[in-house]
Amino acid sequence: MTTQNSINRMTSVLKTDSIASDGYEQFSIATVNKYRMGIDADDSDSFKIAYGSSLGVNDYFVMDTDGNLTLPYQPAFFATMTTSVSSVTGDGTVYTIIQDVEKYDVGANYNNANGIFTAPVDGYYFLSAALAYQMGFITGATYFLQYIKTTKRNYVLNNLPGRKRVNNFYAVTNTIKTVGSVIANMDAGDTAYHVVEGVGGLKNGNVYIYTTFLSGFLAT
Amino acid sequence: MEMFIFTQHFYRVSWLHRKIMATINSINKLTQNLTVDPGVAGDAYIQHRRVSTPVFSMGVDDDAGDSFKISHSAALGTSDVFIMTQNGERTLPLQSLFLAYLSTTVNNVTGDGTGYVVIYDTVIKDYGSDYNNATGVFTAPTTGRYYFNNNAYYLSGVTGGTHVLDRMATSNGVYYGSAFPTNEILPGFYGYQNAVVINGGIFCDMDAGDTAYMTIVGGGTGTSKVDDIYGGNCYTWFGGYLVC
Repeated sequence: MTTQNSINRMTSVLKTDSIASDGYEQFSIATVNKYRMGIDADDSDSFKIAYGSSLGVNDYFVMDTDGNLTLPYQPAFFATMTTSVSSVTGDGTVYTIIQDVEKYDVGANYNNANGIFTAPVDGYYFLSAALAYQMGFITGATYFLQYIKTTKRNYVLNNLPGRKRVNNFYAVTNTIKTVGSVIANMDAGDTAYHVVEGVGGLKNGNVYIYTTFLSGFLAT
Repeated sequence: MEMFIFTQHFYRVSWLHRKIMATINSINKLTQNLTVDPGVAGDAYIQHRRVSTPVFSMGVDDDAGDSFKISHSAALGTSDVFIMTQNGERTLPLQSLFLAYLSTTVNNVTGDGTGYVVIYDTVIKDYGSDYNNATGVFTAPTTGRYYFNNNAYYLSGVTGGTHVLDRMATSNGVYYGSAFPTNEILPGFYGYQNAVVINGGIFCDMDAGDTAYMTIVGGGTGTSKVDDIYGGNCYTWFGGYLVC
């Protein structure tokens, strides 16, 4: 007797099989179906974990037969700007950049009205931001900082001089483009947003539409 | 309790067998599906054992918002390694990951071309204890692809480096981040705290036992070792995690 009942004894192998349809395990509590795990015959035999009672609906974990894993419901977002904003900092104002256009926002955790991402669960989030900053010439900031600010701490991504201090410090469209990223620990409900702070001059610095973005995803 | 649940499983599966004509034994014959249900409130899970010792458990945790879990233990909720919430949010609570920062400014560490190994002494998190905050070195616990990023506040002294660059070294590669001139060669090229920030991010392959650490290099002709790296929460940091 090399195989035994898996319920009240043990076995080393448990198989599910069918003629042409899915082979799966259904996890339920008090007859309420919670998750189904197995092979989706209608999706090239991908291995899936789906919420509910059907592979192919609410697929949360999809591993194809080549080993590619996707998590279709994993929190992730990428947001850019539709228009530049003028005269927002330079005098020490801490300006929160509102990236108002969502290229994607899985889980709807990013608010494009105020630029704030709210963590849906405890975890570590990869956050990345790019800033195109147009500095005021002569009267503008002497330096500027780019942050990602979270509930737990501020991550200074960049710290550079302004044109008031270094006249010819600018690139395409008279901007300086800075980028940065961090793997930040956030608890559920913690927030993150993108900030520029120009200091030492008049409030004549602009955030330029050109490639400014904020993005992120739940990493682990 | 466990025996009770398994007994419940037995009766429920027996009932299912009768219902679907199927005295089809899922072990020595085959069936399309296996339903795991305690029949009442409680976890529904499958336990993987070796020589009667539970190694991994997998199923629905009735105690935590009905998340689907894989746990490195006999019971869901203990040593969870994979959690998928009802909304599809997946976390890996024990995945190798670290984030650390330099708490105190270090003075006169480069500027003359020295590649200064930054020791990020304050650990925010270090799952797996793979980062050494006494040496600044991360050691890969398993073969895979890792993502790292870092930031550093660099302060150049009067006779210090004319340029500064960001460099990460692993056992099988050297990766560069940003590089800038300093105030020494381009007057006024500094920001807050008379510093500039240099940073970098890299996705790289590592074998188990390979190491990764950060160096900051300030240098240039006729320079001396008078440059500093600014400390504090969270100006100069280093982090990374196992991606896949």
